[in-house]
Amino acid sequence: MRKRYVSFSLAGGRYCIPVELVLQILRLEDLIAIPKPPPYVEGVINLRGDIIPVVSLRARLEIAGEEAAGRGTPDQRKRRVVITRVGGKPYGRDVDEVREIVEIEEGGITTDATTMFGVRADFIIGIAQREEGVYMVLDLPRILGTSRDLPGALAGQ
Amino acid sequence: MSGIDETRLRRAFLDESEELSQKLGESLMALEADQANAGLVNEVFRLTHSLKSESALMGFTTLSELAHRMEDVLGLARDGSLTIGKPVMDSLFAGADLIAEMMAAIAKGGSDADSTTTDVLQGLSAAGGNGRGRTQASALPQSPPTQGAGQAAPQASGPPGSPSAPGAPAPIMLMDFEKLQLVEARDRGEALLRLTVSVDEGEAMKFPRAYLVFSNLEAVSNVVKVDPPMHGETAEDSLYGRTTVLLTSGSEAEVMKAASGVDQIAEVKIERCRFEAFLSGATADAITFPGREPGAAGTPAAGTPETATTSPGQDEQARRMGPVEKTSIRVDTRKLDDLWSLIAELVLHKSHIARLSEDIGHGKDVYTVREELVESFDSLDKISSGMQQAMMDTRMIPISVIFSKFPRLVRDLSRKLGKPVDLALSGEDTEIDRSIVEALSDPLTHIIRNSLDHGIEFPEERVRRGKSEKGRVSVSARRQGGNIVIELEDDGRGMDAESIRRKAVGMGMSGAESFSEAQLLDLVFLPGFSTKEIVTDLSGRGVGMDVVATRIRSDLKGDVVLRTEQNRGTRVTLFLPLTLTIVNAMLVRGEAQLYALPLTDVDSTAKLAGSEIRGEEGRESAQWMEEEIPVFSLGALFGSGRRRADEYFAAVLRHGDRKAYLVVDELIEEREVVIKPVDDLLNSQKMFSGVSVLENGKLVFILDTSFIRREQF
Repeated sequence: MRKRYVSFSLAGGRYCIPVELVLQILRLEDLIAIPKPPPYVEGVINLRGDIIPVVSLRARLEIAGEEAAGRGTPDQRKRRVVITRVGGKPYGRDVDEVREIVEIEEGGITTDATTMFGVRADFIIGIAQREEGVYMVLDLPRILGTSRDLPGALAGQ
Repeated sequence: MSGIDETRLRRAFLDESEELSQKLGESLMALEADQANAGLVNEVFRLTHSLKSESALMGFTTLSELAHRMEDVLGLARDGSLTIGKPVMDSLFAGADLIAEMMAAIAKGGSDADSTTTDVLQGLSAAGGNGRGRTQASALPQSPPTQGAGQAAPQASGPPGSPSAPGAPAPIMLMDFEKLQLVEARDRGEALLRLTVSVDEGEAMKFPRAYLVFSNLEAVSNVVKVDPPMHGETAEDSLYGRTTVLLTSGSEAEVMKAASGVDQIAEVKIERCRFEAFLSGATADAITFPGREPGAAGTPAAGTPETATTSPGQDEQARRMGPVEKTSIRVDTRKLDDLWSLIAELVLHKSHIARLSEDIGHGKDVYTVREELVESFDSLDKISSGMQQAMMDTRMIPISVIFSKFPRLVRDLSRKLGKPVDLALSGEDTEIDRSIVEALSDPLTHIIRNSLDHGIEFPEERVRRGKSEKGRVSVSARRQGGNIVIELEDDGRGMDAESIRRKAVGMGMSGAESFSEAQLLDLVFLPGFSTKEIVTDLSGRGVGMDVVATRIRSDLKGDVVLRTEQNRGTRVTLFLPLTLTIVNAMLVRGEAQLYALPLTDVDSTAKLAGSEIRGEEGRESAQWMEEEIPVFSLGALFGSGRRRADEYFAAVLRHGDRKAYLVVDELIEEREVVIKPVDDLLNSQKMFSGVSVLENGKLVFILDTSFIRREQF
């Protein structure tokens, strides 16, 4: 069985998430900054009156160093916030560029060698090989699901 | 009940019946106090009757039978053949309680059949039996007198549509307006059908069954006449053994579907009739038995008896469903009228503005138009805030919704404990947000229970202490600024603050030696403090007060304060916000961020000289009036620290009896903000009660001022 995924790029890597988890895709300009945000929180977004935190995937996946490593800076105009629903609550995450919807065979996701791209392996369900390259399938609930997992707070510890 | 949304029906049933059940409780209380009042007997009779019908419609037979038995007892009382006394009242109260219990079970997705009714039913029978009618009450719910059933039976088995069959339907006399309905239906090309609905002979309550068929029919067709009538003063139940329904419909199939699928229905006979038979001549014969059109006979009726009886098991299945969520609310129509008139004004201004834009198109002087626009905008501004207010008002309900439960609570407790108590209620009309009302019921009940359990002394003790034999508990509500204040007061034994101090010191609480009385009493709201053994020492008070405090302070953003005087009594005062969705707040700035301080929590604003602030960083304080209060600053709480300056702007925050300075960079303005929930991710320190977005898109965090009570940050 083939499942549909939304693919996007982030710091040079290709990632994807199941299409049914995506509520909406917004421009990064819609992001409202908050002072002293907790770690991993980029800001908030006003989604039809609801204030939704936007989690920085870059920081969460610990790939912040990738840019420094020469992957280049993202095109600001292409940056997007992907609003996803996890655990019944919407959360946003920022990505460099939303690419396309890809179909992946359910058996086509392998779970080995996920650490080779230098991201936190426990946030990756597996990798899917396609003609154009390799996609990392993100485990969204783990990345953004619980705030307990996210240390620190507005108080800025 | 095919084709009808069962969940929706159940919700409607619960909405209706919960209100009936609550009114039943209240009326019973009134009746107990005034037992000879025939009006009250009637009222209670009417309520049980409605509960009976409503529940029977939904197939809640256990509930319905219980209500029926109560109705029987009340019927005897109404006729004067039974004198209301304590046994009767007790049995009725027991019945009302059981009904409430069943309703709660149904709301949670259970069934009325989960409750055991035997004891209560016996009590009702016994109570009814004490009247002149001996065991009349218990006899009533059994099979009804043979008259009705005997009539229905032969008809059900008789040849369909045979005009001269025994027990033929009573003549249907049509009024002029009903005839008019027929003419209209005929012009629409609908068919005229006469249905004869026979309820199972063994069914104890026929009306609910017949009514169910009737309401199903009403949903899909135009019912012209029902005999016996379904509305108004209902006739003897047994008469509904067979009901005749005259209706017009565009789809015979739908009518058949609606008429079938109700259990305990023996037969539904459908005959197609000629309009003319009802419209022409007024002879009883023509009206009673309009000729059937050839071919229609028998066909509709053929499949009906089978489909009419569904298995009870299936029915039971349908009744056990998931919990029913409350989605409808009752709103005073006057409030809706207010909203409506505002909308009318809005529409008026809309067309005014449309005309103005046309005027510009037609070359009208721009300055004149501009002036008119400004005027129009002013009005729109007024209208929109009016609409906001009106909409808010629909969220407000009188607190009597909760207060009305207290007389019963106090009555029962006072009997159980053997402590006579007078309850005084006041301010029941005070309106409060419905979401707050729902969360208030438990804490208030708890406090009252505490008063009676532990506060009020036994009569002998009271007399010894020079008090009246009867205890007194008063509950009042009033509006005070943006708050609702609820006071619960008793004239019981009160508490000794010093023994709380001893206990606190004994527990090793630091600083307890120098606590003020207010601080000591506030300890009662601490979770670890109000355990039973300690409480016994403290003249028994405060069990579960920590739960009350959590509910009021954290969930409802309010406050609770306890004051007591030994041997004089205890007063618990609750301060609650009017609503949880919009607050009047003071907008302040700290570094680049905006924060809102709820005005109810702002005592005043002040300028604070740097030299006035004493103490080490993190535990600073300053003088305010006669007291020394802590100093916090937005910069230190959320930013890079308090910047050094000679003079600071500060708001004096208050939460309950605690006060503190909050140093801000700028005091901006007072305004209303709409509270949106704030995600835990942004609020891991629980410093905010919500977040709001201003018109310019700026984000405002609404400060939960209870943080000033905290020991650590």
